Amino acid sequence: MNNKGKDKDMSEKAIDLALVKQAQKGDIKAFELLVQRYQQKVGGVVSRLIKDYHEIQDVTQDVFIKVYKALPKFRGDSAFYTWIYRIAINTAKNYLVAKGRRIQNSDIEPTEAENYSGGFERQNFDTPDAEYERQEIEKVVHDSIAELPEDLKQAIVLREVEGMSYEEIAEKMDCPIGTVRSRIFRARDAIDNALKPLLKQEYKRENYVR
Amino acid sequence: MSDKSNQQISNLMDGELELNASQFLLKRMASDKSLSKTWGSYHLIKSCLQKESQEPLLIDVASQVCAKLGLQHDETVVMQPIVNRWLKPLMGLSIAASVAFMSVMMIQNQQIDNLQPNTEDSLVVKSGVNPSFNPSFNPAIQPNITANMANGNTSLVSPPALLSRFPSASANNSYGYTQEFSNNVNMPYILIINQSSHKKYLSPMKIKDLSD
Repeated sequence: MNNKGKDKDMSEKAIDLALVKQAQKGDIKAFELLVQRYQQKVGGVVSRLIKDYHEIQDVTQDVFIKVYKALPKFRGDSAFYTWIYRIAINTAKNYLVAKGRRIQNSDIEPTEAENYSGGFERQNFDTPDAEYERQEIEKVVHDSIAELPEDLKQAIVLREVEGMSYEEIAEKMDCPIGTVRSRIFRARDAIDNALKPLLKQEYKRENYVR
Repeated sequence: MSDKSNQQISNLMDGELELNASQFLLKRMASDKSLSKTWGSYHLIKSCLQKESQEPLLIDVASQVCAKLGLQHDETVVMQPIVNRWLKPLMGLSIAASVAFMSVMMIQNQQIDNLQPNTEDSLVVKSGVNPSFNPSFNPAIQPNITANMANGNTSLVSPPALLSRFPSASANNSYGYTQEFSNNVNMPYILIINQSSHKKYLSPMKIKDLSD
């Protein structure tokens, strides 16, 4: 179990709220930034109820369409991620009901959805192409990390995999917090550079299909 | 696009950027496509590292959602909070009620002004402070009120019951103006008494509120 610390959680909540406020004023880009921030997590929640890749994509899109339409109602009483997880679960369940299918994992709750880590067997719900793309992106990410200098690799792994705060990483690596910031950024930048050619192809394909 | 901006994005997504810089960067990202791409890419890396292996990787959901909603990327849509939709009529009603109330009050004031006698025939008694709330008030003054009034002077008296613009029944009947104003409210007023009808003590006294 990681220990990211309360300060970090509050700060991420503040970022979400700032983006929501911008989106509530009609800023579509701010809404897109929110989607980019949560698309994977929402997809993960949906995939606990729906197993087909295309259906997961469609339902995930429907979730964000509902989120967009309901944005004026969001007051910030609860965390944004709790709110969208609830919408995601309801949308996925409604989708299954509309299709006349039985709802599995019907007891899933938003709080559980955040920790969707255990107890599920690996299932192949991607189409061959989608599965290949997903594997390519993941391979590039992991290969890039493997090629990083040891200090950058350790910093990004402690942050993203272990979920440590910058303070904890600084203590663990025995270096100033500014150095941690720099190492995590340099690691991300290196992986991003390796991903760019693949993502350009991906975006082109997505746009072409549309 | 500078490394500095990218590093700020990296710090921002981890909640490691100070508030002002965060707010500024969030607004910049909303208008700068290259910055928002970096934001998306860094989150994709995060997803790859954090997600469970059986989950499908979702890419570029945002543009598909915007396409379904019929939104353009650089578009600004006016989104109205739902609460305002039903508050608006209420606000309109409250404004109309306020205007009506003000109108009634103005008409009432005009009617009271019309009832006032000529000030030349009147004796004015002022009271700025409710005696019961004023520690310096001396009850011994009260017997002097009648004398003062007879001399045409100004004196302190208690406010009338409920601060009515018209005197209470007890005040009407108080023969020597030793009023029995029972309500203790701290508010200034002027008591006007028609001197020409000095012998007709049962006639109603006219009271004017100083706050007018």
